[in-house]
Amino acid sequence: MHHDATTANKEQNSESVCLRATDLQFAYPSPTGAPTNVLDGVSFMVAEHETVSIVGPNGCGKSTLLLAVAGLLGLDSGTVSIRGKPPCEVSVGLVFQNYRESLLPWRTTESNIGFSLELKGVGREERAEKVSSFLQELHVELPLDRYPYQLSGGQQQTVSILRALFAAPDVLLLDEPFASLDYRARLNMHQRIQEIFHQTQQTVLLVSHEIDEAILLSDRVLVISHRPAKVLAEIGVGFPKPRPRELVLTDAFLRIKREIFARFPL
Amino acid sequence: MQARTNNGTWRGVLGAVAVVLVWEAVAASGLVSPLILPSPLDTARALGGNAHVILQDLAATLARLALGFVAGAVLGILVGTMFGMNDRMRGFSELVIDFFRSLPVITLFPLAMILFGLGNPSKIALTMWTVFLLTVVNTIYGIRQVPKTRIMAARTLRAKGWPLVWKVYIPSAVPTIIAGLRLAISLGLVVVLVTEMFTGTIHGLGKRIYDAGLVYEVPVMYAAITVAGLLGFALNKAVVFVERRIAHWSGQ
Repeated sequence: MHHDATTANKEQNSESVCLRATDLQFAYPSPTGAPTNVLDGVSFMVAEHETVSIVGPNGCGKSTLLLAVAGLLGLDSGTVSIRGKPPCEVSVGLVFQNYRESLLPWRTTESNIGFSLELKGVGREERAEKVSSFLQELHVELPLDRYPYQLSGGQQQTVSILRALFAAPDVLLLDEPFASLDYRARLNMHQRIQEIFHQTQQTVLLVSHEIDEAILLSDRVLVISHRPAKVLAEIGVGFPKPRPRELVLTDAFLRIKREIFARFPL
Repeated sequence: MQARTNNGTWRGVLGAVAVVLVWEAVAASGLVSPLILPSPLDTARALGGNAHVILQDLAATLARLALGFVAGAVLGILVGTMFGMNDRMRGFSELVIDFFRSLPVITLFPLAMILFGLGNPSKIALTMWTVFLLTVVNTIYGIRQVPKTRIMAARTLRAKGWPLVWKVYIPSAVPTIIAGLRLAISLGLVVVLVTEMFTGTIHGLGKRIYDAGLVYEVPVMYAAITVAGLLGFALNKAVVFVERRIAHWSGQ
């Protein structure tokens, strides 16, 4: 759409850049033969308060890309800079598809969300207070004294996202966060999460294989190639946020979807 | 659910009562010499008559097992966590652990007696070794199975070093560790009872069973065996109880 103009504006005003990935290169070492090339010169940026989605075929290296941005992967070359610093010096939130695995199942909702404060040595009462006022500000209601296995899938993933947000990350990385949820839960999560991100003005990088989801939730969509991953296209989404779920049925939405579809590697 | 559990318990008790009745019937029929099979009533009488001694034996056995179990479990969890987290250390230890796991532990008892004497230390040391081996293996396995995404998410929340081990790795491994402890307490009891049958024991259920057998005090032997069986049963139930409390989330 109008992605050229959007990008140019954001590039000019360097103060508004939150995350910049430059020429990321990564290959998995393999014991037999040549290493598998996964990231092949990936470059992109995410502005402050922006939500950017990464879409691409399965196994194209999207998850690897997120780990690289989180600083959990030793890149062969290229740099990731978040608010001008390397990832290990800033706070990065990371949410995975599998909430069952990534939550701490022996901890209650409150204790999971407050985990980052506990690691800082903040006492139990103060943590409880801060968690409950955090949830109140976001108008989220969750059973605080329940364990993850007593919650629905959507609630568990909400806890997982709030746990990351509670640590006030410079950027929040979401790896297929709604892929394990059923259709109805996913649609509800889209609305809930949009409201939360709108209120917190959180900068978000989202990996998804669902084009509708990517468009609905983000300001820009990056289309990634088959492995080794390269950025094939960048498409701007201009709708004001938060967006109603019915937006996916409008012609304007479908125009963007067609554009992404045309660039999507099949 | 409640009704089903109750039904199950009642059936279990009924089964046990049936076994005792069959035992009584066989003993009363005169088909088997009372020298080999005293009746349940004779056994109960022997237990009543020797209650004081058998209680002392029970206390001695339990104390040896408790010391060996706690020491072995604590050491096993520590070493297992270390090996589980460190690929290189695990590589060095894998074969050695596999060897000692395959070696029937009782073969080491004469060596333990040379090292630690005939009294309690050799028995406790061997029990500790048994519990240690089972706990180490299960702890390594539990630590290795912690989901990678759980670790990565915790790392981005700034968990590292000891808090990462203590607050993420070890709790994640708890269900596997407890499964190991359940095996360990049963095998630990076997080791305590067998080592008590050797010389150098004053009190202990193993000693009582062995001595009663030697002098054909068969009802006393049966009484001590029954107490040993009840002890093993109770210990197993205790571990299961602890498992449900601590690892309530596992399998959900």
